[in-house]
Amino acid sequence: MSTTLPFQEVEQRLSYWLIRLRLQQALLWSVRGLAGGVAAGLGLSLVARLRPFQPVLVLIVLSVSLALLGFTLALASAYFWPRPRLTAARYFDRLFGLAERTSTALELARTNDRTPEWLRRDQWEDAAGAARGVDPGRHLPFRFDRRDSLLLSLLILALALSLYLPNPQQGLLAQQQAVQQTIAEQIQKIEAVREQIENNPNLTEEQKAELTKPLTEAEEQLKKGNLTQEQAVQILTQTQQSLQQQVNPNAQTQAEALQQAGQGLSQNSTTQAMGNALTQGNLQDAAQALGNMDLSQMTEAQRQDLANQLAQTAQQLQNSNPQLASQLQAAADALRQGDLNAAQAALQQAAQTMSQTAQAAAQSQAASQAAGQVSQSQRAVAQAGNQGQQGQGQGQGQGQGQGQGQGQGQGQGQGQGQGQGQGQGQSGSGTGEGNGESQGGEAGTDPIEQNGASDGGESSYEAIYSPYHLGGSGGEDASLPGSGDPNGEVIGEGPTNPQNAGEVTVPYNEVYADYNQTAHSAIENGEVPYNLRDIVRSYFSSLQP
Amino acid sequence: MKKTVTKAVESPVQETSRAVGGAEITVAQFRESAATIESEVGRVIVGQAEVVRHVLICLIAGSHALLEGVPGLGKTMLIKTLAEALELQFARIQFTPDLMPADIVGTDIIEETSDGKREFRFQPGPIFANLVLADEINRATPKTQSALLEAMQEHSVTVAKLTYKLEEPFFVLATQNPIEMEGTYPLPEAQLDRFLFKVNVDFPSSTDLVEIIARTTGGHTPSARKAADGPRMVAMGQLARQIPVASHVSEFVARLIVASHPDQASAPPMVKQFVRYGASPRGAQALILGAKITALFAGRLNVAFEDVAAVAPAALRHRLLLNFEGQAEGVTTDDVVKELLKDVSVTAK
Repeated sequence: MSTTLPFQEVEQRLSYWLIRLRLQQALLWSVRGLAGGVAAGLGLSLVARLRPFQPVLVLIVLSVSLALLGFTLALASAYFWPRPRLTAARYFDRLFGLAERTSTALELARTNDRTPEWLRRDQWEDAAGAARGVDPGRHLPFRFDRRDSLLLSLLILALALSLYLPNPQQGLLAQQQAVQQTIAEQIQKIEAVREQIENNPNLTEEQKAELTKPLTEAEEQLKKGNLTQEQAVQILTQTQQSLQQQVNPNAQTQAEALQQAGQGLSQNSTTQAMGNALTQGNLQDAAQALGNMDLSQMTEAQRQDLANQLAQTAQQLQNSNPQLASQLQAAADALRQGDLNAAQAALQQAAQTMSQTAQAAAQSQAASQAAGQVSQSQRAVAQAGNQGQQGQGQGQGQGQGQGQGQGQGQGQGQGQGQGQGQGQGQSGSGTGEGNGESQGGEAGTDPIEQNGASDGGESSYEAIYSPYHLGGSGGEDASLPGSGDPNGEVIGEGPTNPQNAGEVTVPYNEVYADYNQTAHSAIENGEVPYNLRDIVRSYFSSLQP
Repeated sequence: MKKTVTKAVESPVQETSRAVGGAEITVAQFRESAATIESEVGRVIVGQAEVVRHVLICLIAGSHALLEGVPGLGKTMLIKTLAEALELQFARIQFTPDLMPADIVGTDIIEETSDGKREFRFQPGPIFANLVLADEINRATPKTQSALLEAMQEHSVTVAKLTYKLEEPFFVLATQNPIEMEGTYPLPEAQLDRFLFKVNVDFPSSTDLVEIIARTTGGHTPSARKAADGPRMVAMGQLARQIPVASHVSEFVARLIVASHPDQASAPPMVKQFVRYGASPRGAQALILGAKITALFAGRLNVAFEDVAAVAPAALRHRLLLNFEGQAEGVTTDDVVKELLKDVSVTAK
């Protein structure tokens, strides 16, 4: 089938219309794609307002990226969208009011039906003539849709507001990130402790395995990721308890006693090597030196001198290590009686006992050190992220602090935990109001140490969860004994004169039990945050009379 | 044994084919002839341009038209004027309740020859003409109405086992009064389907009425002059049939017909509620053929959706059968066609 000039003209015009349609659609849809990307960014921003998601900067980058992605995808899709020529011809027929001339012309050219050649030619001429009269610029204008532009503007405005306005979730997010970072740091520290234990020459393989087992388990659990602060603290608490159980206070006491005894032994020529080793804390070397003593090579005077020294050492160790003391005493007695074999055997037994003591002390020391490191890690995780909250608490604290305590000057320093403790004395009287200006000090320091007696200087406090507000606004009112509340219990009397330095009139061992019970009740009732419970427990344990 | 009697008429199809092949009938000539016919009819008939156009479409298509309207609107006059303008052999049959089929198709009569022998001779009825006016067709009984069936479909008549071919072109233009009027018999569906269009003749506007009064009450009664003959009409029909139809237009027509059936999923709610039977395939043929001729009237060499829409009411209104609910609600088939055109998309879903 031969195509004639009129049909070629129809084809050329169709191609031109098609390109114009692609450009127009690309322009139209690029705005919609942009709006879609901005809407997605807005969605992310709203999600970030409902729960901790991403920092603002990341949200901005994500939103811009999504907008650009939407714009590009829509632009490319609209331009390159498959548009068969016949389908396009039908569309243009409707759009330009061509009464199906173009599509019929295309079908006539493509199919070999019984339409006479002259009729085909005439139809193509008719179609070409009609196509000439079309103004594509009027039907396919290059301009943005007003509604799309309005929608895009609204979305951009909403996104900007959503990103600009303060987001309460950002603080939580920063806290979460700080917690995760702290957890990662503590994992490294625990790993270092584990390696230290594995490289400790004073420990047997069994002891190493026993010591590293809780550390390894803690590492594995912490590395799982996405742990909450409470979960991480719980893991570390369990690890610390597990390690703490391996601490043998007797072994450490025995080691210390041996170290003290070493000073006397080091002054004797026959026991100088053992004494020096003990003084330096090398119990194994001391045990080896004790076991290597060859009594047969000594003179009688040296033996008697050694017997006296052993007897003296045995007396020193009588309370801390009775077994070793009796073995040393037996050796001394045998030497005095001239029974070298018995003395040598007793020394061997004493050396073996000392070696066992050395191993037990080494394990206990390693366990104690590891427990201490885990405890530090636990505190670090528990306090992680509080700096962000501290910043929020600062604004609140300043507002509350204005109304409190000006002029009181003294008291317990227990307002909200966010102020500065001024004043002194621990009188049970007074309402506890007005602890000076609240400034919200820096976080990150040990709350136990800083919650001690106020000395009037500045000290930093964490924001501690406090269900009862003493004197301040909000929360339930709580009265201290002697403040006029008939339900209060007066447990002691003290001077309330601000000029007076204050004096404790009730021995604390009498009130300790009540305070301890109250603290434990508070813990059990959930009034103390989880990450602070061990701190409270440790505090009261340290005060145990 | 069947005997076919064919009158010596040269095949108009062959003639028209040559004419089209030799470009003697061009689109311009088509339009000129059509315009002349309409103009000549317009000398007598005032207004009713759409009625005239639709009837002319039926004639060009070589098919039949049914005109419906209350008495006195010029239906008969229109057809008589067309016959005058087309230089065709014209016959008028006034349908009455006592009209018999033999009165239409003719009958064998006994004739005595010169030698005294008597033999049967077929006496052709008024159906043997190019243009037959079946006036008030629904006043005859169904038996008589059905006498037209073979003539309209086969262009032949069978009497006493003998089939007589009718001369081409052959058109039946029937008029009928609305069936609500007394003394009428509704045309059977099979016969209705054989009419290409059913054209409604509406009451003229006041302006047209003034003109009608002026023309018919004066001393001079206008008449139409000859504008075309039978072969030209056949050639015009042949040209129209060659007009190409784009596939999506044909598909639209098919969807339209399918959607007119209430049991089809694509049928609009109105069809499902009020229509008992939808249009037959003859409806699709009528739509396409009518649209082709309409396209030629517009000087276009292809069929457009607007051509289909223009002929859809005339082509479908007598092919849709309303159910009882539709009739009770006063829904017309024109309403249904309008709904179909609105509901069926020009693009395939």
